[in-house]
Amino acid sequence: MAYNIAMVCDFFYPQLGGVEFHIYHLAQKLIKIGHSVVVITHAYGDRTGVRYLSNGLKVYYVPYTILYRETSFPTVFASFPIVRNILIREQIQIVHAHVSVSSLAHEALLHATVMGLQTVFTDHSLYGFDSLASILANKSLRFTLTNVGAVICVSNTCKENIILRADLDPSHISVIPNAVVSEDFTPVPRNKHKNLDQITIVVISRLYPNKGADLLTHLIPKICNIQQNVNFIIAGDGPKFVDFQQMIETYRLQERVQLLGAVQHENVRDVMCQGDIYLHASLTEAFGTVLVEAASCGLLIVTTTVGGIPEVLPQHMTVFAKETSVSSLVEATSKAIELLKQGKVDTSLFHSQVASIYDWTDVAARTTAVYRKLISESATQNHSWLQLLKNYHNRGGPWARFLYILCAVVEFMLYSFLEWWYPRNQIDVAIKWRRKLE
Amino acid sequence: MEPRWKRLLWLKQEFPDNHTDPEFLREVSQLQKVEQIARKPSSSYQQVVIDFLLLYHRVLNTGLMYVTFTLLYYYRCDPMYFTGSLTCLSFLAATLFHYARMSLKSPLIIIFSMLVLSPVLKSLSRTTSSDSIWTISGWLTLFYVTSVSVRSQSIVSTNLLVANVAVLGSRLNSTTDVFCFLLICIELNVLLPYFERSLLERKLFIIYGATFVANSVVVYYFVALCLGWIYTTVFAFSSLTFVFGLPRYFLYWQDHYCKNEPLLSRWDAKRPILD
Repeated sequence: MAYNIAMVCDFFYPQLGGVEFHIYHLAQKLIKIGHSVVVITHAYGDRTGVRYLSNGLKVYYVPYTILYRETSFPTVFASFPIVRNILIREQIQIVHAHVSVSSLAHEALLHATVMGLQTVFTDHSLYGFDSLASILANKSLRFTLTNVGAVICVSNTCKENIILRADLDPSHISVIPNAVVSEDFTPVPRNKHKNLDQITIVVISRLYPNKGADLLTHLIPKICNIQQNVNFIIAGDGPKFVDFQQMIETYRLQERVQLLGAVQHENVRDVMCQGDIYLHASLTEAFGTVLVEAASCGLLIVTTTVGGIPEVLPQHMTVFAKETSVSSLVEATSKAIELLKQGKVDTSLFHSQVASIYDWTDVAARTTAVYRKLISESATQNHSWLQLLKNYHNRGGPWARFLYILCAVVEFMLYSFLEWWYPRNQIDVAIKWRRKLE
Repeated sequence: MEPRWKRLLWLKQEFPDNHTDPEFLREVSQLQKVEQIARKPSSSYQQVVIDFLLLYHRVLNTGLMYVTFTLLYYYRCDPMYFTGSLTCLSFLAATLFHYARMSLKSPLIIIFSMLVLSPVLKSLSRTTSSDSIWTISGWLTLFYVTSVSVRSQSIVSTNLLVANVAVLGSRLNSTTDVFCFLLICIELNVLLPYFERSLLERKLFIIYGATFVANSVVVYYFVALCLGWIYTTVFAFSSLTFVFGLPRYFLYWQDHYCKNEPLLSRWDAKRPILD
């Protein structure tokens, strides 16, 4: 059974990142299975209106004001007319929103619920509880996820996190990990008896404090000091870039540490393949796609054990640092170097193993299972407005619940108004992209 | 034997994706308990009220500055006698508390430099309109109270205070007024809090209470006199809310959102240990 699905998120191409690739690849695989998928995002610069990506993946770039780091301005109701129009035009059955800091995603979930459509939400990151921003995000998440059909998390840690943040029933939450396009991350065929006198350690990361940039700047000189035949390649840009430059100058490591700056995503594989070990010093991580990519390129992984990282890769591909300290990471790196030198790990098998574990086709199949369950259950569930209102009333504290109900009632009124002012039957139905028969 | 669920993503397991293991649930419910159950408060309500009260007292002290200013600016009072007696009183208190060790040199230097500076201060912002002065002064007071609440004995707050006094002083009528205003403000906002703090340190709570009551009486009487009873009531109620109501919210915040709970802070980015 083919579904009409709308993916909604503030973050999408032309911006590049984990979430953006997730949406794109998932959509492509869903299209391949036979579903119809459209993406709704906000306009990026002059990229507004409707665009098509490969295989007829239609993207709606809706013009919105950008508030902060590509997140659209939260308005609760203002996106309703256009979102309703798109959902009706495309005959959408399932609205699949991504990322809990995307206000467009939250709003679309609310609109879809009121319109009686099925809703799915995927969360990609971990959030705390104590900063003002996270409290705000958690409250709005609690509101919009009140009537959500299903939630998908990228790791078990992420699942725990969202259960606490949004107070959800654990059985509604599925854990479906990210995947990699393993063809894009093939290792260079190397000769069995490669000279391992010289070992290269690769770091690919945005150079931010929460990615462990401080750890790295302390760690690299130490390792260079202990291991004379180890070199580093560091790719990525960010506010800590200067610290790395200073580190190289201070310890005179110009010969041994290469600082590449930002690298295009399509070149990541080439950078990775120059190394033998991938070093990951991140301080927070929900999934860690880059680890999977590096392992797929046949690199031995040295990483901290924060967030969902311990769940991601099998033991034999990774060397864990027990804590997020320099000494512990130095120890782990030295251990990895020893393992490689003594030939105790065979990295040549990593690629095929990773390819069998993390595959977008598998992700799409598992996501479809979530959709199917949702559609089959929807027949028996009560989705009347009164029930929705009751659900809102049973959420949140004494103050929040009134705000929730108020928002819901305004939303109902708005919907009734739109149905009268711009009736359904006056909205043109979009012609679906004709599928290639395979 | 039935296979057991493992918390791993790379392992293909014979469980549906929304499978929730009892083991997993136990951990989550433990976390939820941490979040929901009212835990033993990390600090007592009484202690927080006292802290808020101290800050409130500091705000009242700041209010005395405006009382003085209004007396000089609107009511055209002669500040000479008041300044003289207040200065004598501060010298007396200083001698009493510091015995004979206090040198006269530094206070005299400060007083004479103020005397020299007061004509300059008087004409410093003559070209600026009064409305702008009130606005600047309002903001400076706000910053001053904030800086006092962050760290009560910092050079920043003293600088803000002096800046505020200098700004206000330029509206006064004569050089004498400016000098007296400067002196009074420094005595009321630097020396008086210092004096009160030393009272607390010596555990002379009754005298401290008396200064607090005197301070409140002056400020409230003045507010009632200038603005009327409605404003006084509003002011009193907001003060009561601040001193007795806000601590409850503070404690709630501390228990539910503050970074004290190791289980809740496990989602935050880990701290890098740079050993």
